[in-house]
Amino acid sequence: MSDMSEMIFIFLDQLLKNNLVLISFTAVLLIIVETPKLRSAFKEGTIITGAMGFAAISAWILSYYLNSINFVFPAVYFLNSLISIKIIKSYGLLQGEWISGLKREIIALAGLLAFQFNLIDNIAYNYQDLIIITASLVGFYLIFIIVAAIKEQLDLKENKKIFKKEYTLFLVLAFLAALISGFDFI
Amino acid sequence: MNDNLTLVNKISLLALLALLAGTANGVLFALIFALSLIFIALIVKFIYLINESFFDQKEGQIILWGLGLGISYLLHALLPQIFKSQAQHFNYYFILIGVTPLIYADLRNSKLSKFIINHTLFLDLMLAVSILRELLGQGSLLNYQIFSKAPLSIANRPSGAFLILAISAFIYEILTKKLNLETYIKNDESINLGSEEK
Repeated sequence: MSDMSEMIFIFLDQLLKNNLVLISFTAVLLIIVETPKLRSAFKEGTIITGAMGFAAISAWILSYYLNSINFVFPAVYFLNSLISIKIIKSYGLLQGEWISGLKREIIALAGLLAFQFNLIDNIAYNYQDLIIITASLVGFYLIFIIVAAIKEQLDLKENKKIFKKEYTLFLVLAFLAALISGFDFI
Repeated sequence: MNDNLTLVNKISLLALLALLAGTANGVLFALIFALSLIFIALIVKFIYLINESFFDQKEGQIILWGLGLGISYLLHALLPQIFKSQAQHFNYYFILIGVTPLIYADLRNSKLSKFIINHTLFLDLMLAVSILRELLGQGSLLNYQIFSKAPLSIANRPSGAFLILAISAFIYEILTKKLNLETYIKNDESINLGSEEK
């Protein structure tokens, strides 16, 4: 029973207190730019979360076996990220160009790399790592859906132009981050 | 979110991770962070110019991203030995400088003025966000204690990063509009503001 409580505690701690997106800023750009309308966000969120899951498991296994040559980690994570991007693209996402002629892949690349670095910082190579990975992915998926819903509201035509700017979304994310940390700054 | 992006919008998105994570450890580290990003952008631009046609292709672009990541990883190993008082702040966010979209945003543009304007605005934003976060969140500036107690402790937390960035970007947008910078830049044809396409 105490094991179960500990597992729930680790899960909630990783989901809320160390939330991947709001506290560590991991993949925040990917979420801000790539979130579609709420209806398709459930499917697209699953695809991106799945690809992040692949990167996480791969980084977890490889970092364990390559621990003695840890200077190669960035290169390993980079390759993992490229494979994950390929997976996301195979489902028709991250197509075309973003701003200034940049390929949309770059939006996901930083997020996927950050996730792997963040994960390896928090693991101890035991069963609890799987809870941490699951909680991180659930945290990412939830924020993806929430941001998609918020963006849909901000995009409504009756809203004034100023509310459609990115900093409105930053303010909402600030409130969400404060909320999940329990307003502990007060 | 699908409207044409303003210059401030564009820079705050292209360098979002740097503006959020790079400003968490005070003004001095934010300055190191921002200058490292500009340094990597210059090297990447130089490498790109050696063989533009190759680096415009998909494989070339991946190699360029890998090079950017490699340079930032090298700096992550070297700089703590130079800035010993800041050494504890060189975490994995610093390695991620190499994949910041801002580094790759001006590669195809031959005009140096666009590069300078974009990176000056980025440096300005980094300084504005970090000054506000250090002053309000820690009550100090450049490690000199100004207030005995932090006036607004939220500024030093992740939620404060979003909040201060939103406020700073909003003020910068008003300033650029007041000074007609956007029009000037557009007339100069040195900045081609793109739109978020999807």
